[in-house]
Amino acid sequence: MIAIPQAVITKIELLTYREVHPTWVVNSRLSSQTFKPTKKDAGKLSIRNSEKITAEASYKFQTEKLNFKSVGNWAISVGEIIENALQCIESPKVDEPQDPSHCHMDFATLTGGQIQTKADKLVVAARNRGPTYQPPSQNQA
Amino acid sequence: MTISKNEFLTSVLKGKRFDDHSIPVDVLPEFASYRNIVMNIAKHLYFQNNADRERLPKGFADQLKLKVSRIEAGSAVAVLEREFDSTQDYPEFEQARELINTAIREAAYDQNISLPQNILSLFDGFGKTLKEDESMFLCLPGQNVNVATKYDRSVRGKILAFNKKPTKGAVKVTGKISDVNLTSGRFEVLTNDGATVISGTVSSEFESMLRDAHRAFETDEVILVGLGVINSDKSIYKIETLQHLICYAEDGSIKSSVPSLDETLGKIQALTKGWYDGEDGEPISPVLIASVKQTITKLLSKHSIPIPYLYPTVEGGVRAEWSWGNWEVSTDLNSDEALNIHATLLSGTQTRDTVVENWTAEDSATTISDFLHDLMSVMI
Repeated sequence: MIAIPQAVITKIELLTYREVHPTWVVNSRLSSQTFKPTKKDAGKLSIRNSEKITAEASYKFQTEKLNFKSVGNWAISVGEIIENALQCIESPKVDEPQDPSHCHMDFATLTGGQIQTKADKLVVAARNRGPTYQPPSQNQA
Repeated sequence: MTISKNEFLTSVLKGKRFDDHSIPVDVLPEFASYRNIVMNIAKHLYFQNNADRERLPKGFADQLKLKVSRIEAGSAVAVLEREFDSTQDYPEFEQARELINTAIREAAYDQNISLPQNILSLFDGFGKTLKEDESMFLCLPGQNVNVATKYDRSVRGKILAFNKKPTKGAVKVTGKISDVNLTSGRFEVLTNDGATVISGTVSSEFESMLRDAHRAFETDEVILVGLGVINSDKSIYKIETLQHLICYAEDGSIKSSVPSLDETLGKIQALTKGWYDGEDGEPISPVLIASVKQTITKLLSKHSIPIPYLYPTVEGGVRAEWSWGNWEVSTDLNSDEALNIHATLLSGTQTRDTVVENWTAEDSATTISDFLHDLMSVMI
């Protein structure tokens, strides 16, 4: 559950982490699906605020606390989010396991084509930056 | 609708032909060319200012009706008046007018010109009728001619020369890997005409395949797609980023490729229910995998379209993605017959879409191939 209060982050140089499922990296190339919400996300794509969590801790939270698979995390900046006419919204999770670093981008009102266009631009920004954290066993992914 | 009129630009023409305070009819096309540039910049700005819009609003072009409302004395002064519906005005037209003046001043002072190259080419038609001794001062409303932007043949020449600088785009090259130098991080491909050598940057994902193809230079042929730097004569200056690579053995069979079709599909086929997060993540059916393989193989064998990067979708489909120069192209292949292919231009606001009615049908590969080839800047 996402709890209030929700504030929009405007610090353009701030990085946000996005954990990536192992099947969405092929030959080190990240799929644009990484930045497309799935049905379960209801238009809100989860990211983590790098001022509140390290890249390594984000990976561990994803795989050890949430028990989700991740090949590591990639980052996009708040500036890149804003350039794509989206917002980085603080939405800390207060339910267990608590996640004060949790933020999201809201795609809910966009068409499929608009979502894909934004995902294409965001994934290229993330690819160009390279992975922010990969566990030692995944460094060759 | 409320029709309004205001002064958009005053064009002061100087030179012998204008000394009698009149404008020869030969010069009048200049105003149509000017309007064309304003319109194209305004469209560009609109999409930049409204990133969520895919189309221009209805009637956008009608908002730029320019008329020479009067000719005044003082060399020859043509006052261009804009007629528009003030209930749905767009600021982009006036912003475009400012950007034209800025670009002209940048060219005059030999600076980088801050307009996209497709716009700069429109200056070919603007200033064409001006003679050596003539100039046009583009005065904003209320601006004195002494401080106005001056446009003449020399500035037009500078803008057109600037436009001839290399551009970046999608390139597809067929040939043989003639050199790989890991120290400099460069490779070279000798194209099939035997006369052109194009260099490119080696990246880690392609390194071993490039080296193997180089060792088998005599026999192995490659097809590569990447982001190329393209000269104004459409020749490829270099391949900046390699994105897809296929290597064929002497007998025409595929020896290796990045990405690999069988390896990726094998991993996708092995996924079980809940693969994504324990709950979500439908398995991908063997029937779908077989259809995907068939379509992609057909794309490659009949149309030389390199293998896309393939990923499973949470809904149980297969996503195909191509990095295609400065385009990102994607489509979801699933049990639905129809599929939509979407392309996003990374360096602008342009997107393209096409629908394939039945992607497993015999002719679907042609539609997909035509769409991808249309995005190519150069194919050798």
